[in-house]
Amino acid sequence: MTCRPLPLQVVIALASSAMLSVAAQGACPGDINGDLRVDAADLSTLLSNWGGSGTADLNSDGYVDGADLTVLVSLWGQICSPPQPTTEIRLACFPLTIAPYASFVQTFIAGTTVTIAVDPGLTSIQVGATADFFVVAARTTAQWGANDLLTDVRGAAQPITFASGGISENRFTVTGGQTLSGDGGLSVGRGYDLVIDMDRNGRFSVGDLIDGGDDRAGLWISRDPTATGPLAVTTLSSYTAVGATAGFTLARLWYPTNVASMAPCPLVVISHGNGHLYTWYDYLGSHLASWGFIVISHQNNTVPGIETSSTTTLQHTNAIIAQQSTVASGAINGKIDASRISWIGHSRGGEGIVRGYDRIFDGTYTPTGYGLSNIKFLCPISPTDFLGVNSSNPHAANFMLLWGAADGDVSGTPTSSVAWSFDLAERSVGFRNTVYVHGADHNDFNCCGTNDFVGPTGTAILNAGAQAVAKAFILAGIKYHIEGETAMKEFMWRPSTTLRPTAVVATTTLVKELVPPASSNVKSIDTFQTQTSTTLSSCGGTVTSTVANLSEALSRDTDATYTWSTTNPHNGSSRATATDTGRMIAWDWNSAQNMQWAIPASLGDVSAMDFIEVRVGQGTRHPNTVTLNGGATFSIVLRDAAGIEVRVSSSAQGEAVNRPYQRTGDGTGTGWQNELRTIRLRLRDFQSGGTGINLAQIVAVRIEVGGTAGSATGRFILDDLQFTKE
Amino acid sequence: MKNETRAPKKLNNFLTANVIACCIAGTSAIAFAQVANPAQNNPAQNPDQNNPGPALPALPATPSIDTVPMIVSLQPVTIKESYATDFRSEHQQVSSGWLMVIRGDSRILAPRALAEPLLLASGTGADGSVWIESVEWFNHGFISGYRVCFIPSTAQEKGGADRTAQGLRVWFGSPKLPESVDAKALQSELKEADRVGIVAGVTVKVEGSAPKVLANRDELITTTNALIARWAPDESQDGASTVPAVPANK
Repeated sequence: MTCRPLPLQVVIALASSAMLSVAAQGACPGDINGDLRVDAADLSTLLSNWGGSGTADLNSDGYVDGADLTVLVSLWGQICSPPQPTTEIRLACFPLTIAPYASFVQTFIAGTTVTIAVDPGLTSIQVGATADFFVVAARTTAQWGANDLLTDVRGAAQPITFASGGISENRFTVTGGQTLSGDGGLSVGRGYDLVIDMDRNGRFSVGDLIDGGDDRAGLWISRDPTATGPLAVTTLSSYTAVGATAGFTLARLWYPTNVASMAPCPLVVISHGNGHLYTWYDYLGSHLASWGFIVISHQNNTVPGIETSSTTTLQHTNAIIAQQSTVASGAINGKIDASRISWIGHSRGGEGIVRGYDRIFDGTYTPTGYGLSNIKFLCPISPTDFLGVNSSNPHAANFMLLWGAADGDVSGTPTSSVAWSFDLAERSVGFRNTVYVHGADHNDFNCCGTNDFVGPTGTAILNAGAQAVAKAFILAGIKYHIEGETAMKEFMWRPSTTLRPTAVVATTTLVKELVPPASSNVKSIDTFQTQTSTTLSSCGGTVTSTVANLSEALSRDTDATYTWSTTNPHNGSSRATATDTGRMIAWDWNSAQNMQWAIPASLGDVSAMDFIEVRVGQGTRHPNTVTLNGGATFSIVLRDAAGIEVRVSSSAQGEAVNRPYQRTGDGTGTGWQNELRTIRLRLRDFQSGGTGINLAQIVAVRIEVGGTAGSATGRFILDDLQFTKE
Repeated sequence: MKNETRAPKKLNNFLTANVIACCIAGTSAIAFAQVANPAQNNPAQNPDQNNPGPALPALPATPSIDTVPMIVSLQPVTIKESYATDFRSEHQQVSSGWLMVIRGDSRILAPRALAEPLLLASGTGADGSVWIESVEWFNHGFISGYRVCFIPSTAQEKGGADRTAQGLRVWFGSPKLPESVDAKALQSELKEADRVGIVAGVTVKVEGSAPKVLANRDELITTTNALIARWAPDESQDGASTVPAVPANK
């Protein structure tokens, strides 16, 4: 006899094929000990609990008694079948007009349309069948195990009927998706799990599809990260930091007004740039405090240089921790969480915070009240690079760079690597991301600096535009790194066309890179570092190519002009001083061409990974780039051991590789420095529609350009081709 | 060698004050200039977030006789408790010097993240030798046109001759971070200044008295802050006056 296959033990098959067990809930009546048999062991348990209550209370009347014994005897000898799995898949997406017709994501800005899609090639849906789609408050794996009842936050489930065809025929707009709340208290958003209840029984049960059955929310509705947070803020216009360099002792403080009733808050320190004032960052201090942080902005000793700037950052961090009992009449006493510190620095102050971190790392400065491990996030804005790799090095810190493409000061000019903010990012070996902001100048990131805009007429985004970007991305970075809001990560790599903070104008081009640190979550194909040959990758595989003018070298413009020259193949690259080591490749094409990396067997199982990604940008002022005069596209092809090849366009991310900012100067031609963005393609997309490709046995990765694969002409700069996990 | 201080040839629009140029006759002299209220020359920064302040001008080549600043005032100072200057890589101890206000070319006074021209001073030692020093400054002066500075005297700690302000030259040198400059670099700057023809200014009558005695660097800062409040009020960092206390954002 076989027990009813009740869905009370759920085994979730992740999209990656990893299996995740959820706690048993008595899937086999009479089977008290959960071994799928009703036998003497269960009888023994029942007798030992006689007169009490608990799992042996088989009829749920509150007592273990003769009635339960009767039930047990009636089921004696049963052997139950293992429960059938439900399926964990991605459902939340934004629709695409090209294959794979849906880009599966997690994060949506509140008020925007939410879509789900079901891939008939990867699921067992029945054409014409109707199921109930639920949006449920997010649950952890354990919570799903404890409660399988589906309760739709919208009040009622949404019936959906599967159609013949593919993903595009099985996309469904989430009814009421635009009104889903993003109110997560101090969290920027709120999580939901998405369930397609195939048997329409109102429970999460066998055969159902779920997005978010693990501890990750399937859907994250984010409030606008540029908007003021939920907390009222008190500002102390200035206080004096004891122990700071004479002349640089003043600082401004922002904190949640109700901080007395809160747990200790992470600390954010803002270090201004040269010729700036500590009073120029009210927009940022107030914004972050409204989301639950204690923030200071301090006088910064930037005129002598970077070392002195770093000293004032270090001193002021010491001081606010030490003086919390007296500053603001003790309002923040005991409320600074010195184990979670973020440093934000602008311009020379941006390099200063990196230098400060490096000094602690090197042991040449010993802070008081905190240590290196307590600095959780470094965010330089338009930083200089005076000191170079040995002194201004963020090492493994979590790192975010914001930089304006119209910067007339730290401009990226090829004549001086001091003006190359990307240097600092390239040195990072931690989690790093960059946001390069078209139309933003150096002083757009404060209230009151000079107007240093250099760029095409009509492209300036002005203070409001740049500060909206800063508010959104710094908040996202801090929430991600400090408070573990993993859904904020999508702000760091998704294009604005699919995820845009509300106050960031839609026409603003944001060029984003995200590079995770080396870990088990990364399978690197080619870093272009350890193998200098263009025919061998850093993972040891053979590299073949048909592209033109292939060059692998230091990511450095070497002739002090952005005029294109064949003798300077990395023209426009401003990411490495002569003593840095960051290398990239560059090549161009005018017809269908490709570059292919053989994947060693030791790396070929990528079934547990989520993405294949690469950093890529257009080569500025190159004749092909000029001819293309727009976004560039390419395709990535995966091949498995059986010879199955699947091609996915880079546009599946939702945006092309943008044209370089059309700024002039430093030579002839139009287009400023090379801008790299991370293109991440979900590996699941390569299986879309049931391609049959075996992600456990990938033998080659190929980037294709021209022809049907992408733009007809162009020149690319590429780095960090790798598989990554979410 | 012409004994004259050159005013910038191209004064910016803000620098229309009627300055009586004056330079230094002796070590204890105080230079003083009658200047129109600097606040009148200090247009408010545009509060419109969409049209931030004045444009950042291109940096002219330095050193050049075209960009030599005008000395507005000079005050000899002694400091009882010495301090280490951050404007030299050697971080010499400083126990005396000259407080100075200069009026300069806005193209140079404009604050920049990239290297700004060093502010340099040179004069004659008691033994007739020529000294050169990296001048500390406490504001930029882009809006006001006035920069408050301190010429640190570091020779005594090195066993050199006492410095005097005789034949004082003040000029903008090559763009560098002051904290990166050492004695060797300063000598190169001196040679370059000589090469381009930067000379001492004209000697004018000055009001003066004994050196001002300050207890320590804190007092030096207090003094320079007062000068900034007078000459460059837009850069006065009295934070308490710029934001009302305890506003709530919602």
